[in-house]
Amino acid sequence: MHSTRIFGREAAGTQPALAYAPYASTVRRAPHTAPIEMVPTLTETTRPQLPEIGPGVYDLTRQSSALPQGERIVVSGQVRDEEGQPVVGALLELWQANAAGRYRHPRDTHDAPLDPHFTGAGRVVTDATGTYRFITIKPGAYPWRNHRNAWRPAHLHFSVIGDCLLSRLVTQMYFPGDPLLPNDPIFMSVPAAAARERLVANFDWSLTVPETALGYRFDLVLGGRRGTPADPHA
Amino acid sequence: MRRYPTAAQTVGPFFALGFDWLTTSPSILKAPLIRGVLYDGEGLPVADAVLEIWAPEAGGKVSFQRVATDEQGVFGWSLRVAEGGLNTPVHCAVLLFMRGLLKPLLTRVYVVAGQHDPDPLQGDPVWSAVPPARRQTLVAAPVAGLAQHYGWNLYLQDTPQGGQETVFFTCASAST
Repeated sequence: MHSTRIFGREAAGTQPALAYAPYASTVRRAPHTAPIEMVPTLTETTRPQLPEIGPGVYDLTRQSSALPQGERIVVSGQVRDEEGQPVVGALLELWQANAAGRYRHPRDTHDAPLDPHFTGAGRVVTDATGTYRFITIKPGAYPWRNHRNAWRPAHLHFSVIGDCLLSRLVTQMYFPGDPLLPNDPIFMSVPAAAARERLVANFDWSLTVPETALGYRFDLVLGGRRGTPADPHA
Repeated sequence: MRRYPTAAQTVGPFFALGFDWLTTSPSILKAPLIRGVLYDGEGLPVADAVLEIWAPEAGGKVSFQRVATDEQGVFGWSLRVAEGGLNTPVHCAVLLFMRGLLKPLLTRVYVVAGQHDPDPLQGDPVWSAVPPARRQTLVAAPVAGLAQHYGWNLYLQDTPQGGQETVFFTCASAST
């Protein structure tokens, strides 16, 4: 019910600024003028028409004739709104580097090997409890040219399309205990430490699969909450 | 318990891996359509961006299209029309994602066919929130010689060549 969704302003420190000089690519791409505040219209608050994907592509280790190289992991979590209500039927898209830190993409020129048995792409829809689950392999860290000896910490890219444009989320999931995190300008672009920590998955025994895979929990919160419905008796 | 939305992170340069299955190929575009070039602050075309087009349709629905810029920074999408052709003014909300953007940019494009007096957008609350001197950054203009082709360039910043930074928006419900 789009008409009762409320979208607040960003809480201080919980989202990155657009202009963040330590991430060099922002310098010529972040607008200089502050955005104009607008009141949402139906265009921004209505659930979009998306194709049905059925069971989707949830197991990235079974997309080929053989298993990919690397440490197999389960990544699962719940997608909720700001009130904690599950977001049912949200579309999650996942993409990532392989175990050696190489993407199957023509612009990735890092000289780590490609894995013929790993595409690094999946997609699922959240179930009736807002829960999703992927099986994949732990990606490798990789170098980039942002600054001297720059390395991206291991991460999974997540895209979520939930109830409407205003709850759209594209983010990255990191792994606990990664020593590269404090030196990564993309991770560090989020000002509040608590908000950064929410981008780090939690190791979770309950998600492990014996003899098969370790488990990580990564919950996501989309913007928006229910408004106060109009009193029908007023 | 109130929770904070998960922090955004950049889509990075390799989003095609995850996005391609739902990305419209430019080769299937047909009129009426919007086409343009995305420029960075140096006036260089941005070849690694993705745009999501959220457009209101008949019956209170919202359509979703995803298009990527090509090597020349060119993007484009077809406008959906009801029987009887394009009934303007129409708008599309556009979300921009790319390497170098730590969170998406929200903008809008309006198509207004023909000459109108008074301004058919004067009652539009989003249009009205934009200072008049910046409004033309939100208008897709008819392309001379190409029926039902509308041109709309996007500028992330003012450029040395004279490009004017596009208007971007942030959204908040009035009651918060």
